[in-house]
Amino acid sequence: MFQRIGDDSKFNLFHHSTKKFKTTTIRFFFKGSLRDHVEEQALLPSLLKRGSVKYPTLKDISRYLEALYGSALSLDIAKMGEMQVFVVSMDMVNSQFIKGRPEILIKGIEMVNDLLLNPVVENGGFPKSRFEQERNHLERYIKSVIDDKGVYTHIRLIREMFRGEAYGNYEWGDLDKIPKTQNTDVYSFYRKLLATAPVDVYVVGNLTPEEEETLPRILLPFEQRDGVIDPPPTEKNFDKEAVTVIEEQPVEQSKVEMGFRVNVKPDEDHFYALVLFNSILGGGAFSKLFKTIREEESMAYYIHSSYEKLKGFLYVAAGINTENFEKVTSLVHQCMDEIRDGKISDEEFQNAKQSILNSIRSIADNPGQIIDFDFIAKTAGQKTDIQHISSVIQGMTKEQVASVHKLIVPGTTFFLKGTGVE
Amino acid sequence: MTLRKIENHLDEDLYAGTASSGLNYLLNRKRGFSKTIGLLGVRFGSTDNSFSSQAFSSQGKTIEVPEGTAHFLEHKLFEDSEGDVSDRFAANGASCNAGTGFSTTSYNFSCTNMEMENIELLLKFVQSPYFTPELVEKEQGIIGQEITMYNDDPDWIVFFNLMKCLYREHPVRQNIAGSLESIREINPEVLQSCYKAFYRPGNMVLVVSGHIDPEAIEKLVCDDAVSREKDDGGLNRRMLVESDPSIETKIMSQKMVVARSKILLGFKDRELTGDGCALQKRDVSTQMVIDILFGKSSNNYDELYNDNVIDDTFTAYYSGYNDFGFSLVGGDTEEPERFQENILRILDKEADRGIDPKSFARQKNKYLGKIIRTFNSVESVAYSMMNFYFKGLSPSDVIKTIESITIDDLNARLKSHFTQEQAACSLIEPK
Repeated sequence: MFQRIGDDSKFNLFHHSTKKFKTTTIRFFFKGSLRDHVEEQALLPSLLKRGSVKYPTLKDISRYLEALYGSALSLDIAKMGEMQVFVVSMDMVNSQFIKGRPEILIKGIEMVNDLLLNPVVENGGFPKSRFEQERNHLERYIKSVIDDKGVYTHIRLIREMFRGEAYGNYEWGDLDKIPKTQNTDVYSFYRKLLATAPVDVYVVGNLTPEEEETLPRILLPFEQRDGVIDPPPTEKNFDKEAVTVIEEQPVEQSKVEMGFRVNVKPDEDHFYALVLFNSILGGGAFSKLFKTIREEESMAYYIHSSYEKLKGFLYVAAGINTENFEKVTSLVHQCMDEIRDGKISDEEFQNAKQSILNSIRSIADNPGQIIDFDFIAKTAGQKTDIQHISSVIQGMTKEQVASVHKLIVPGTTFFLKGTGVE
Repeated sequence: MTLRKIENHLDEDLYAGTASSGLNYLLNRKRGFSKTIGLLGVRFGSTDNSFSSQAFSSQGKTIEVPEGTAHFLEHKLFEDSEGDVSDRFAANGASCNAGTGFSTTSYNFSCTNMEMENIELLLKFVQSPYFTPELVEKEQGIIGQEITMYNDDPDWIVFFNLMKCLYREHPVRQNIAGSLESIREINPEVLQSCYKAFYRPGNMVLVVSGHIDPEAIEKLVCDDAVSREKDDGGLNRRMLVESDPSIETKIMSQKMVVARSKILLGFKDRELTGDGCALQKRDVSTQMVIDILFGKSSNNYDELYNDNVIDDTFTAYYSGYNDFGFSLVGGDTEEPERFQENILRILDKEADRGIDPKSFARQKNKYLGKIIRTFNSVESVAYSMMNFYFKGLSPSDVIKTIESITIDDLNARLKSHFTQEQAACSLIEPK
């Protein structure tokens, strides 16, 4: 879907030309590692959003975006396998739909360039009051996230199951380390990121021939970039014991998450058997987990399964009553064994296939999804041909799906045990 | 056959039509898209709990129904004598859902194939009521759990407490899902009377956006309409005019398990101008005032953020309907009094100063971009078209109305809408 354009001496630039959308989307991925400097990278989105040399404050940035017909800018951190990726996204209306065809795209790029390459700096760091404010906000944000018990359970499962591995780190940082993170360290980390991190830039939209020609020349005018350092590849480990970790909290509803490691490589067609396995197991209201544990047994308020393909990690999450912990975990294994034994009805199989096909086909209807899909697939070494993937899924047999079971290794189970509200 | 093309400058294929039963439909063919969304909207929401209809009484006797009825009815339609409708959509490769708001209920599906089968199923199930005492009782349990879940949600509670402050009588003060007590009063007869009064073709709209053939849909809708009762009107929705619109409760506070306080300041709209372009104008001008005063591009936001009065939880918006409307400004804070003082101080200051022309010009650009952006996805097109339809706006009115807004409109709103007289405050504090 994407053509590589420009000379890729400083960064990779991919373009997907389409008239489908009313907007042009540009997304930048700066690839970092979850192994270290997690807190420094986590502070970048909020600090860079506060202003740059040409647009010194958030107010200046917002005014510029408003005038540019409501262009949208976002800066974010994403965890992808053991990468911590700094993602910057710009979404601009295509000027062909506005009287007089005002210049929007080039002006939008000018701003992003300045934000990324010329942040406001004071004494070798970000402005002191801004830094302290954003460091406090990050701390507060993480505290509010862990107030949500479902999210807390997920973060704890990962921390326990992947202790000692980079994947175990929470992408927004460690609450203990954030207060100690220093301004000058964040700034020098950022300069290093700019100099050495691999950068992929994606563009989706309907560009004029002039824009197509101009884009590679004006995007991200780095001064110098040699010695781009790839983050270490995501490691996969299968020799850890299966354990259960229990934490008590004074809440009404208990939460349980069961983690599994999956020995399936994302770049094989066999991978799609795992995709189907997950869908049949817990991919929606038609799935085994939902029908057995929620509908038949009324033991879970919510239950679903999900997988992460770069790390090879599958998990089942449920909100349950405390006393049903043993029964629910046993039923989860039972549902997985049913798939292993081929006990999949034609209806279950068709519903799961259709649900996946719907999701896959819908990717092409959303610029952000088109980009993210390509980026992650490339990282995983996967084909990005939707037709091919659809036909592999359609042709999948129950036996192929059943055979995935033996490649799934039980990992950690985390149980947030609710002891009731006082 | 009544299918007609709607001209526009956005390179979009838009069509509208009306079936013999009175059902209106709006279609958007999106070339190159894989997904299709079908929406069937009904002009019936949580605030419609008092009405009269020729269907029941030629004398126009008023019928009152319990809080939460519209939402209950939405849930109940998903189950009929054959079981759960969502299984049938799943067999057609589609996912489905529904939602109830203050003035509308909508039923939708999303798919990447079997579009016609899914449209047919959507039309069929919404127009096939099936209410039994057993199914109603079962739903009371499920909705009861849903209400309990909302009662634990501080954002939901702070909002409805504010509605209770702003409105003495208007049903917007009622929880959309109702209460554990009110849903016990809902029975098949209550559901049947609401269904008969509101779920009439003339009170509904079908909107489909995506990978579609407009002529084929026109035929499907018209064939379906043949077997339906023609809608001959007779519905009298009670438009509530409060006998005393003044605000009785200026502040309501509740304690919940939260890390910081949640504050929501509300301003009740007393200039209710009906529907269509007038409503749209009121809506957009008020939102523009709010964005100019409190948006990220304002000096005020900059100041408040730097002084740690607000953070990323800050929100400010206007919500307008035919017979009610309100503005809200709120967020999470450790110092609710300081938050409130600052907001009120800013409103006073800005009312004196007036709207800055450069800020106004930027807002116009932003809104124009927003309308264009709506057509980027089938979901946003479908929901926008349904909302505009129920507000009495045609697609061509939308941009024209925004273009007609003047800086004087904003200044007038700034002075008349954000007064202390019309204000109230809702607070959730940590236990």
